[in-house]
Amino acid sequence: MMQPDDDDLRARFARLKANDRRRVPEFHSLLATARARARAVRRARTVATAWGMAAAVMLVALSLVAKRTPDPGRSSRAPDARTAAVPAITVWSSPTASLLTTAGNEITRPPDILSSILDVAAFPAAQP
Amino acid sequence: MERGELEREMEGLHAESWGWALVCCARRAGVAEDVLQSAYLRVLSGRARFNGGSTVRTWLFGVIRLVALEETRRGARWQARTASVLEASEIADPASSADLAVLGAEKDAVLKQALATLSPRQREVLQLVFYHDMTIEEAASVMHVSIGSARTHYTRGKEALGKRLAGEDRT
Repeated sequence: MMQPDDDDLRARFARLKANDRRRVPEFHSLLATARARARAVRRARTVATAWGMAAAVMLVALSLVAKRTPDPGRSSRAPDARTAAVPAITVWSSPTASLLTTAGNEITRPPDILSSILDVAAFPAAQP
Repeated sequence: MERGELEREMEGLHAESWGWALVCCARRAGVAEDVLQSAYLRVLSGRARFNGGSTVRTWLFGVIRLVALEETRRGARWQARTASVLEASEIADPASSADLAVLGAEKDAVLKQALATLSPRQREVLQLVFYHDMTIEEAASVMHVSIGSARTHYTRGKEALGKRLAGEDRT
């Protein structure tokens, strides 16, 4: 069989068109549905935006409140790690201090501050 | 063009627009209705503007085609358009079997199936020329392609459609 010519194609398409026309949705109801759908989408967007803004406001408010509230434990708080690592000057000793400890060292050791040589002399006298 | 005037034009072209939307949506009536709704809204809200560069019909068909393409890209809803075109054409039109029995529209079904085997561009240009009686130039304008490209799609599509129909008629 030969391929259909333009007239045959037109006839076939015309039949298809006539068939499609039987099921055309009504214009005004389609438009009304479209408008209702658009309204619903707009409303949903508005609600979503409102919720989003409310959440943002709450977050900002909470962060402000958290910033302004004084921390009760702040004054009694332990010193931070850097400060804690530095020893107090009264207990500090040189890293080479151990080298100074030799036999007979106590003889050459300077007397204690506010002590007297008489202290040494007084003690033997006091002994029985 | 004013909104009321546009609405009247759209109403006048509604049946044609429906036929065109069906083709743009692989003949899925539900999707075609959604697409038509979106296209009308786009026109009435002013998001698609008619600048008088063509006829209202050509412009409106272009809007419908673009909306249908966007819906397709959005995916999921009718991926079958490219995946299983034949299957889609069978599922798409639940009234087909009833029509076949009642209206004796076997040739419609043959044509739909033959069209479904063509590429979307070929299908579109043939529909615009044979269904909507447009010239190839008008079809090119609707499809946003050059006239040369539209003519190529037309020639190849017509040839392929002819072969399919001849094959179907023989069986």
